[in-house]
Amino acid sequence: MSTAKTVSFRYIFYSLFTGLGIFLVAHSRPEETQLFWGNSDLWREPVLAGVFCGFLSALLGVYILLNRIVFISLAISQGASFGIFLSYFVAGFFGISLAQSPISFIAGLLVALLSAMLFAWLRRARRIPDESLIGLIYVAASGLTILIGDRISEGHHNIDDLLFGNAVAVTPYELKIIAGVTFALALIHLVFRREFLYASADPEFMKIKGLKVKFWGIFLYFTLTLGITFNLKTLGALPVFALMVVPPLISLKRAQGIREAFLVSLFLGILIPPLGYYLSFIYSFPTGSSVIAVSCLYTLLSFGETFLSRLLFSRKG
Amino acid sequence: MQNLALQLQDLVVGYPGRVLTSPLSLQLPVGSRLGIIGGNGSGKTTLLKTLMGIQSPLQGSYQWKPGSQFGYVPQESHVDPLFPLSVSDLLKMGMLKGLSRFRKTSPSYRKAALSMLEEMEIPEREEALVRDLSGGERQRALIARAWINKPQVLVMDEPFAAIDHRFKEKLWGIFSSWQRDHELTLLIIDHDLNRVINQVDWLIVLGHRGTAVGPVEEILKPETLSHAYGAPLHVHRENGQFQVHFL
Repeated sequence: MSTAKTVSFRYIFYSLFTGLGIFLVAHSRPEETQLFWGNSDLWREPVLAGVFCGFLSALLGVYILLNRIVFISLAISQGASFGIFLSYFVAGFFGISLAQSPISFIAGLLVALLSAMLFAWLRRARRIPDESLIGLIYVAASGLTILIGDRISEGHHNIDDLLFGNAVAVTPYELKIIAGVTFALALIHLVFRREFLYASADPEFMKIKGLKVKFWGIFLYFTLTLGITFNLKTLGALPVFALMVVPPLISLKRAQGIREAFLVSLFLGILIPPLGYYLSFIYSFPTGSSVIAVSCLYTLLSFGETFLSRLLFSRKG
Repeated sequence: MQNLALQLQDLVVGYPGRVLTSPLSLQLPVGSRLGIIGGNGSGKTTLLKTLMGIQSPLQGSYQWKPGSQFGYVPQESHVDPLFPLSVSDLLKMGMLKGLSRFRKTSPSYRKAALSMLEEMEIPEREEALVRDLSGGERQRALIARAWINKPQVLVMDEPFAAIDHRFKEKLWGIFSSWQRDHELTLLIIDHDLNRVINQVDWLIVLGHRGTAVGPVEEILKPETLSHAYGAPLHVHRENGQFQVHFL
């Protein structure tokens, strides 16, 4: 089966089930559904932000899965937490308030970047398994966050927002920032797709061919960190983790080419967050948990996809 | 001065705490074939990786002709099977700098890819995933990747593993034609001693007792080889072909 046919089949399969899900929910909860569609101004920005986050997470997640480093997003999130706590700790020491300041977010981003750079640098230079390095960064960042967190008095609410996301309160300004970051990172990944992919797939060969493998590795982690940190602010650590794992996982399970892997992953990344928001509104679930639940549901659906695909196409060999 | 592809000056390779070779010195002319032979764990792959800049020498130095580009065929594919890379992607890895950044393929790539795959007798496998290829097909695809952008130096680490006998013979002919048309310098590791010594003009023998470097005619003396391998052996020539027999 050609890539175009496989991708089309997978798009149709997941679109049909998403549509069916929305229809069944609307049928069982007509009043809430009416309320949902009647109050689009309440959810327009958050849902669009979720779509951008899902797109970006699904794009970056393909690299994360291919490089077998799925827990890197949690380690980077923890690095960001430490940076945020550290900024509040230092500000408190000098008697400065960071309540309305972007400094804490910038500090989180910087420490997250440092953590990712450290990982990128060490993973090729030392014979330490990736999982151990990720675990080490996660444990160190978590321990330091708890130590400092105990000593700060201001800003716990802001920290929670930054770390666990505030999915229902996205302003038009924040939406523009999320869209801008998504567009910029997607463009970088489109232009340098081969460098990122080939340096990940066979670093030794690409080094011999003259590609600066270490540079591209570090650049890839730089984009991952930017994506993860900005997504954290919108969705929170666990939903971002789910969106970085589930769409690429489903996509790669049956992908017959790298193009298909990205196309299907991006499609699922766009599909999952709006459905999560929708169910969260209808059933009054916490939004982040709803996005995670929908991700799990799609993972289950992927077994059905595999079964149906074998049934329909296996004879063609 | 001779047109040299590679110069070794007292080069010692290995890992910190584990020296694998005694000092190697060599002046290899452009267009030569250099065979690297030796037992398991004697440092053949480490020597190639050192010459490719993957790891640093323990001692001494080496110098390639300035501007040399390399093709490399590893012992086995290092591409993680998780990557759904096609043979076409593999070939693109070999000519990354010649590819269009925004288009899927370029005419120069299409022409080079088709010609390489036909030469390797796998034209119908262009869109197949690397992980779905048989061992022999994968090896042919790796050779195609190494040669697609016509480098000046082709380095091959046991390229014949998993390749059938007929195609092995054909490959030597293909290498000869590449060398004739492109002044290609070839470095090759092969475990089949009696095959490689009759196909190359320079040899590096990495033995447990010592190393020997030089033109094939000089190296293929029983005393030199016996010393390197640390085992008695007999060398004779039959119908113009060298034969080595361990006693």
